[in-house]
Amino acid sequence: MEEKQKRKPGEQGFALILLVASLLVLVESVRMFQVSPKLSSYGGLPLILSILMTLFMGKVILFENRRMEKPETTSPLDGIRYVFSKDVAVFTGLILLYCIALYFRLGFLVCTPIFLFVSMQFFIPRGIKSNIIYSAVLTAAVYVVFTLIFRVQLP
Amino acid sequence: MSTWSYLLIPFQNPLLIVLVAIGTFVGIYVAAIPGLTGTMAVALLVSFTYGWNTHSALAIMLGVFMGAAYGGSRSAILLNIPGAPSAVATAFDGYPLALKGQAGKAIGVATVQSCLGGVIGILALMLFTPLISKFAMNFAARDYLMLAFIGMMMVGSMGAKSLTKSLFSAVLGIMLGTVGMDAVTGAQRFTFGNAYLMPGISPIVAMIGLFGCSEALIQIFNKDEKRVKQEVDKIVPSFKSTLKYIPLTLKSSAIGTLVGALPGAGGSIAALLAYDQAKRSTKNPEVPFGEGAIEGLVAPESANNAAVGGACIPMLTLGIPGDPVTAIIMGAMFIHGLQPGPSLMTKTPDLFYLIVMCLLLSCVFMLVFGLTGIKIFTKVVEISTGRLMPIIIVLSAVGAYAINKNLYDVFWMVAFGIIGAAMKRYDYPTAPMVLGLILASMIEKNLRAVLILGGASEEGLILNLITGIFTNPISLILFLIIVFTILSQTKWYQRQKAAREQKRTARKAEK
Repeated sequence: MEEKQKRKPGEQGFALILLVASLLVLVESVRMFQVSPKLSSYGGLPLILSILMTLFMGKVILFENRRMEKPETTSPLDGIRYVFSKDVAVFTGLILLYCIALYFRLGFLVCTPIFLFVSMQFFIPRGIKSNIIYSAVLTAAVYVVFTLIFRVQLP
Repeated sequence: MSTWSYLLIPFQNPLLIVLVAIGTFVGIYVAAIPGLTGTMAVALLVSFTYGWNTHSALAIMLGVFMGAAYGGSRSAILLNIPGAPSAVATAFDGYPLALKGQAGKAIGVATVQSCLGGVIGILALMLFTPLISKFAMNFAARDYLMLAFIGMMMVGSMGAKSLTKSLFSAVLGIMLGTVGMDAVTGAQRFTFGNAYLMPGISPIVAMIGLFGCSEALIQIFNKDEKRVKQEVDKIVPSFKSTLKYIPLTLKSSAIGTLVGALPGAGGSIAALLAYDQAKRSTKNPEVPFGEGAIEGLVAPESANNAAVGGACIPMLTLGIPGDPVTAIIMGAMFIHGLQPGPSLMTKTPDLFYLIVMCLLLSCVFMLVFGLTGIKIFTKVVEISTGRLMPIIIVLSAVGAYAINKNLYDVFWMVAFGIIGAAMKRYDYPTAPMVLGLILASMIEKNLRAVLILGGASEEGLILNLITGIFTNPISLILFLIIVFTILSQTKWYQRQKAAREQKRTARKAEK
């Protein structure tokens, strides 16, 4: 007998989020289509696509996911933890802080070594000396390679 | 200019040769590091080479493409961790060989076979591209629409756990491609008054987010994986042993080229199919498959590199990418003002032969770098994920910023990274999304052409479409392929196929 596939924590919730997003896109597409009700108009393709997106997600939620064996936990928090484990959540937070620091023009040469060091220190807490060296060398390498060889403007 | 003079273009500019060499080297090492992929490297390169001339940008990207198709085999052999998806089948027999202390032999065979497979794929590219391009000149708008549909279906049906999830991802990609100002009417779509969204979502930013940032987030789940050190001895295989496996090399390369040429398939499926075929057709291997059979290395390694040439065929002839890397290269070609498709051969034949020559040169460099530098390599693959992932984020941020020098792009890249990571965790593949995003404008242009040519009324449109399909052989073949692709996904077909397989196995057992 074919073994039932196990649903991952939060899988149905994620599919529901995608379904809601598809429905919102569908509403906006209908609004565009009403302005010029032709399939060749600017709202035509979005309307077809949003209908397809809604149908696909409906199929995933009602048929595919429901056919699977339920996960041990159905708490939304466990679903969030499945995607954003502590490590992923902290690292994502660090990435966002890095982007915000760049946005406020703190400078690539200031933000990058700090981001690299803090991230490396978070993942490998015992290697403080080598983390400092890695952060400094990698920042210098990125700076030299991208400004001198690729001639790319750094953020 | 003749074909030969076009082929010699890279030799007139030594910088191109150097760039191919650098690209190949980078491709090998990037793909060898578990967690980093050639797709990610090429996606980043698109933004870094944005300001370069087209030839130089293509030279380095093609080098990475070819090098990465091979690079994954090294970590598959030494660590039993395929550095790239196309090296999954290589680990089946490569790692058992390493456990027997024959890692050097395995790397040598993998390198030579990758080179041979790569060359065969390129020869096929050289031979078939001009023919298919001429043929594709007769394609109507509905044919392009059907081709794009086939591409989406193939991407969805191969490799992914759920066809519906893959198709959702592809449709979402096309939808994202419609964001911004409509090219024909100038109307705003899904911009919600945001000026940033008016020119549309940058495919490059999305690609970097989906392949770079999301991969860095996903790799955190594997950060504690231990990597085992290996001692490597002499690696250059003898000419005699290489000659012995030539029939299998040719067969596997043919499979690789063919599978690579199918839109959406790519090296990983090519390698698995070639491995399976070798396992079935090799009567008496010296060592059983799965325990260190050389045939189990020859087949996937020649196939995954042959798939590189194969994947370039639909990109250059039809404007439909064969795999995620060619999708990105196609995006890069658009940025450089080129239009991949049937007219590429007639308008810019020099570019086609430049691509061919760069890929051939890359095979040569692959042989050189593949058979040397093992000591550096063992050091590189030992770099911990905790150190690797932050640097990928920095490179992704630099790449996203480099295109428009806009810091909002960096935030969008991170957003795509987070969405991509969640999608990957729940088995929604992100490659169809990128494919959809890149093909969106082509799909919309051809859909509009079909609808406008079809007439004002819906009945007239349907009648015109049916007449067009059944009176034109190209359209009919494409239509039948779509019908078959849909049919092959049904439970009825799967049951029939399983029953046929069962009967065949029973008949074999009786014999």
